[in-house]
Amino acid sequence: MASTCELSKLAYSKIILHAFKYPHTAINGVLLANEGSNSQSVKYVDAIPLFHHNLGLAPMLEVALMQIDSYCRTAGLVIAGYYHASEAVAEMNPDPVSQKICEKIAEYFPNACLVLINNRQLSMQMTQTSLSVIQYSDGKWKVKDKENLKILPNNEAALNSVSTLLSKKLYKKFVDFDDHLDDIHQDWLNVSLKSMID
Amino acid sequence: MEKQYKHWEDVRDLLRNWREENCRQSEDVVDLWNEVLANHFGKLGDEGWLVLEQVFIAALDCHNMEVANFCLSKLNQEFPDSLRVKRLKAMKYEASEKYEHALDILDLIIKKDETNAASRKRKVTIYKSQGMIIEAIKELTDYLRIFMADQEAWMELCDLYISQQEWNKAAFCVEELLLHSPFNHLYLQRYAEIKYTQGGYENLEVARSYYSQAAKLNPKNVRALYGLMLTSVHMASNSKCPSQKKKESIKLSEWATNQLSQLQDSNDSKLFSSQILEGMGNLQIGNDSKN
Repeated sequence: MASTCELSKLAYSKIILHAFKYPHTAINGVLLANEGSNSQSVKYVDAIPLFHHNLGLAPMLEVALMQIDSYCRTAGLVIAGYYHASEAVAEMNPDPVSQKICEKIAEYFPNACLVLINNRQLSMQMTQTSLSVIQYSDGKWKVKDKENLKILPNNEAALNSVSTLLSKKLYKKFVDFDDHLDDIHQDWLNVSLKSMID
Repeated sequence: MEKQYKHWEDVRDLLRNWREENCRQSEDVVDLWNEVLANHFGKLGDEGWLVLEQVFIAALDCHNMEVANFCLSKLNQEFPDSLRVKRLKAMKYEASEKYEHALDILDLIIKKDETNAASRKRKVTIYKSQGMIIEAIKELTDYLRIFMADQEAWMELCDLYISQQEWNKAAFCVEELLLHSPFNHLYLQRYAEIKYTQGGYENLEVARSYYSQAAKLNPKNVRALYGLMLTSVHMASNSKCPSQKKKESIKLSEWATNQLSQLQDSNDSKLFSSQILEGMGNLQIGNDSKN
């Protein structure tokens, strides 16, 4: 049986909100899974948005990953995946930076997934998950079939929920790590948004 | 857009501010136009044409072709032979992904007026939108040979080189910017980030000195403070570092940590500074920073 990649509604919503907040730039972020889960099938319970400027620069990425790692240890989570949306609307391949980061994540979490956003499928009324997943296992990148990507509780409910969030323009209040670096009081954990998403 | 703007004059002033500061608030611009300013267009006078241009570009950004077409037709009516309006037509083709048409119009404009900088820059964005980064870089470097003082263009070229992982060339672009504005803490910080990403002990030293200068000019620059902390700790733990520099590095990293705590200004340990120092070794993403 093929391994699945599952995203919680929270993780999926955060990815989409991040993409909508910065539609004109590339964005990236990490995906978190529960500690101790490292089978071929991965379930992502949360997502932490990282940057929307100069994704290829190392120093702030290292600072962000350290802080997220610390947070994970207190929350029983682990950095287990990575998501990315390209700047160009038609770009569907992962760029070298994304691959490098995901390979690094895979050093600590085997079978890490790289989730790519399909820019063309995004809309205010979401009808498709708009994601494609590549998994890094045994040193190789393998594309996952669409049936093996699931959004919990089920795709339709998640899409409706996200569309509601988009219509309320909640992405304007969404905070990524770049926003936190611009204003240190902004919360990159988006705790206040979490209750609205659930 | 939390505040409700009832008076068209307030909206006009807000749009003027955004024009002057070159803010990208496209959704808000289009909403404000639809809700308020469209009904008062006649009262705007000559400023109305600038507003139309601003709303047109914002509408293209939101892919709201109805508003875009309305604005463009009004501008075309008033300024039928204008090269500036022709450029807006090219942008409309660009937004509809009809890149060949857009390029044709832009080439025509450049032929008529060789000093037209904005049209040349639009060509760069057309290549960039299609993911043709190498061509975009070539077009932009040709542009910069003529318009050497264009800081926005140097910054864009730097971003393009970073996306191609050409660190030396990206650093060169920031060096040009620093020649124009040596006291700009953001340029100093960007230079440090590129040097850090390049890796190697010498680059680490350079990164640390540029981060220090940025933090000195603006002690509230969070990226500079974090960068200072990061580079100092890496230098202190590097075998190549002489002991005097090690002591210096440790002092610098303590200063940076204190500044960050003060900015954070609360007791909750989001900074995790001690864990950060602990975790330093494990999450190295840059190239060979330790050697």
